[in-house]
Amino acid sequence: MKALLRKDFYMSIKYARIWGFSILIFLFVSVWGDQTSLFALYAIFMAGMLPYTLMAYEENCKWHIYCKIFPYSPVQIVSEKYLLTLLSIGSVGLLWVFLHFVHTLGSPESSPFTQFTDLLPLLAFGLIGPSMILPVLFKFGVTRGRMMYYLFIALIFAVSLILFSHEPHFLLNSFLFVWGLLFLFIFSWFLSIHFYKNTSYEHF
Amino acid sequence: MNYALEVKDLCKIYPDFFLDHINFALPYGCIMGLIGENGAGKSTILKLILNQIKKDQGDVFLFGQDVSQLTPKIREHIGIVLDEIGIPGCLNAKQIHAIMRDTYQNWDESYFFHSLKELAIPITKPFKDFSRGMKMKLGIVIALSHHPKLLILDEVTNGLDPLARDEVLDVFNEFTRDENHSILLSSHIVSDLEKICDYITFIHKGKLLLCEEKDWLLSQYGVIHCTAEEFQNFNQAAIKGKKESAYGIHVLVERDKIPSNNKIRPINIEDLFVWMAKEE
Repeated sequence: MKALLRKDFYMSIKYARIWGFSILIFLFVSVWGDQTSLFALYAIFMAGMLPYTLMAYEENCKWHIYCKIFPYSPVQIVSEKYLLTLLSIGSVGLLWVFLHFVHTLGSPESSPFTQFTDLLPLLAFGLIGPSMILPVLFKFGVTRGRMMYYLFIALIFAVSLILFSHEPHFLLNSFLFVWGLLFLFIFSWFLSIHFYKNTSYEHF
Repeated sequence: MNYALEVKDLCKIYPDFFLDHINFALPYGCIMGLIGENGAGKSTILKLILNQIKKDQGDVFLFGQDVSQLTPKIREHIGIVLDEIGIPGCLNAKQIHAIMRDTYQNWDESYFFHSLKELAIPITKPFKDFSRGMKMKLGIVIALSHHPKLLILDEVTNGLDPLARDEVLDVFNEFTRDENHSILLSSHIVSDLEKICDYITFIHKGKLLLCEEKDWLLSQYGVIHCTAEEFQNFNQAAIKGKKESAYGIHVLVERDKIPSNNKIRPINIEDLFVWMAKEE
């Protein structure tokens, strides 16, 4: 698992620079701009895209076949992507909290803990994309799952735009929303393991 | 007898291809060459051995363990080089070392860097900028640096220049000096296999033509050049193939079924495969 995380770290440094830069811009706009919730959601949504961005590169160089020769179990291969999702979303979430702290520095209510109440629902929102897309990619591969992938992205953006242009915090602050998405993420994790174990590489 | 690899009655059915009841076994300490034309089924056999695709029938055992139950612990003892090394292009050898160090319990850092130096593989150059030969050599070094007991190699010498091929074959010879080490090597460059293999397996259009010791094959088969009348007098059971031309008939024969007064020319493995494949 550590080896796979290390590989993805090296790949992220090389291939995900623009992705990281875009997230930073969204975070800055969310902290210093008007539509704060919406841009924070975009940033967190993009953070969740890291695993499947890397999976596209992996499929391109045939790593997804090559890695099967190494002593990694299917559970490790799948779990690493889910762990990467959590790390990526978690890091961006913490960065968002830090930027808010910097933004309010000097004011009486300034505290690094002020934003933590909003952090959990924000992180939960970031899990929607990976929860829906990763099982599809583990089942069909990135190339064949690409159309599904674009459909999901469009759907998630459309839903978030509708929801957050009206009542931004109504759904996000719901206890059910957070736990529901956490459950969805865990279910997706097990589903991906099941799909990956039964994937044959005859057509890849 | 204990085998590093056993393939029993292996079948795989595709709409346009049938891998037909393949059987062979690779003893410890030996190198087996899997020979066949493009599309013969060599890569399919290797994928089935590595459990990358699902078999329709038969069994494969690595170190006595069914490959469908292959644990990461058993995989520690196998080194594999496929015809395409799937390393992400942005990684360099130093980063690959760091990844493999966390992958294999027996990863030998000094062996890895020593081999890179020996084979003149750059340490900091990204993998995507490597030539085909360099990629293959790096794949081989990765496969060897955790000291596996079995190497499975798919078309590794293809695209290598003669010098690089010679270097690589030396590495394999060195590897099998340990009697517990075995290699299964697939290629259609038969001259390479003839140099290093102990066993030869011919695959043609998904069928197993033969699986024998190389030296036995070379001693068993030969070619006779004769006239049509002389050909009629041969023991027909000894004849394994014939080629007719304006200059007479070339006949592939089993030596021990032909009277010793006939002049039998030796045959190399490549020619033997071509003869047998054409007869099928």
